[in-house]
Amino acid sequence: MREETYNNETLRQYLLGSLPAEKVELFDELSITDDEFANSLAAAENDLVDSYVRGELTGSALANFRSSYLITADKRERVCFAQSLRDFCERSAAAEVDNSLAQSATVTSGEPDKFSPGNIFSRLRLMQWGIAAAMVVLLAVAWLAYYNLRIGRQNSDGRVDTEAKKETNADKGSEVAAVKEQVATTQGERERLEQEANKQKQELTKVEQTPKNRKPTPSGQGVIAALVLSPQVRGIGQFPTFSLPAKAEVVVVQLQLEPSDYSTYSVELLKESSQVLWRSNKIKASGRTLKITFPARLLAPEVFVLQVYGVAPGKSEALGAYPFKVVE
Amino acid sequence: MHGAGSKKDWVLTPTAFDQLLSWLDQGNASGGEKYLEMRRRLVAYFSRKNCPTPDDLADETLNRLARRLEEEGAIDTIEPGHYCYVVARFVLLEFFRKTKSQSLEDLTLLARADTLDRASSESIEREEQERRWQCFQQCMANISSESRELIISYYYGDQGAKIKNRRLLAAKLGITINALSIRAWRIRNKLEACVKRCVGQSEMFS
Repeated sequence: MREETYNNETLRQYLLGSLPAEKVELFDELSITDDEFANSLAAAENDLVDSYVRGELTGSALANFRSSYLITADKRERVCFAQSLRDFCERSAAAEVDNSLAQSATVTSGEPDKFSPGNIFSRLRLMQWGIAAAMVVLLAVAWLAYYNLRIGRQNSDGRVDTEAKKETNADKGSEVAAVKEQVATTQGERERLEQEANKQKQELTKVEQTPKNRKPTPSGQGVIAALVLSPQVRGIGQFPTFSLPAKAEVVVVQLQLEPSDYSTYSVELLKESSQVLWRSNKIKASGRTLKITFPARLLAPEVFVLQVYGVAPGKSEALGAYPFKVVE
Repeated sequence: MHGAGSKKDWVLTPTAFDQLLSWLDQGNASGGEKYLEMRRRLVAYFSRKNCPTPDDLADETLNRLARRLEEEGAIDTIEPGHYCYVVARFVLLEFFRKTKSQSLEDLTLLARADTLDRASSESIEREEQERRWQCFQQCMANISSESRELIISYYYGDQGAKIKNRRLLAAKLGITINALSIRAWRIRNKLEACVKRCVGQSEMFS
């Protein structure tokens, strides 16, 4: 396959789903039939994922990546792998430098390999350490010079001012006493504030536990009272119905699960036409109940289905469907 | 000659699998490498189409090829790569019909809601991250030191430093940048597969 048909940019567009339809089919076929294209595509995908992980994608490229690439679990796993690879490489490079520093005192004869990764990193780091060490030495010398100069001036007066010293010591003593007093005051104040905070916490706990004092959720705002659904029973045409408050923002649903071998689940919200509107992250059930939350704006007066999947490594199995009807 | 039983009853036998490997090799024995590469391409294809189980669909594609080979005895009229693509397309279309998706766009338009119950999903993610990191280290320790050094050098650094490192590395190894890229990609591929297996195994026992 001639490389003029594609380049890094078109491969990136293909991976992000922004290539014209006629080219997509061509690239689909090449991705399976053409060795050179398949290799280039795999490398382009790795580069794209690495760019995302390093924060090199910006603007529309970043938005496109998030909306088009991070959709399926296996692609998100690729991103996680790229993050691990990046972290491992950085840590290994740092460890390599530490080893090089430790070995720098026992350099053996023989020309070192200038181009080995360890030496490239260690030379850079050694330079940095060398500069830092030189600066420390310079500062120390400057301070010593200043100190010597100061002592020299004091000795040139010819006498030691013992009275001045005594006064200085007395000042210092009272200063210390003042600081101690301040610390004691601050400590006392802190203890007082801590006691007050604990008291308030206890009061708050009491208030929260008193049913009468619970503020009712304002009607139509925040969470709808939990909708509990059971799996669909065949042959029954009627669906559970509920009314959606106009100002509702979030819907919470508790799904009663049928027995299964799965411990992790995912849920999809579908229209009756099977169009998927929303998909949950992986969630664990609490006993045989699964709780999910999704925006109320996804719902309208019609029939919906919540499809539950059991999730295991490398597979996803449809378990139960929970239809319900939203009415005005 | 057709195999007995329905399509659903057909099972991939060692003989059928060997036949598939030979057909993919086209006379150049690769020790299964061609099969693995073809499987990788199929998984990537289904993944690009946002199928939630690309591995299963890739295996389904290869199973159908093996069954067809067993039934026909040989497939000479079309190259293996092209035939794999044709079958993969059928499998994809069947998948779409089964999930009753109207179009590719429906699969991609997923509104990810903010759930209030983040605590449980966040703790699962933390566990998964920890598990993934341990698996990554384990898999890194299992590859040769040359491969490890190569991949660390290849992927270290930001944009500018990375390109410079790669040139130096290619020069040191006496190969072209392209050849280096393929070598690094193969190592990375093996590592990804290793991490995926390891994470899957540790999830099973968690």
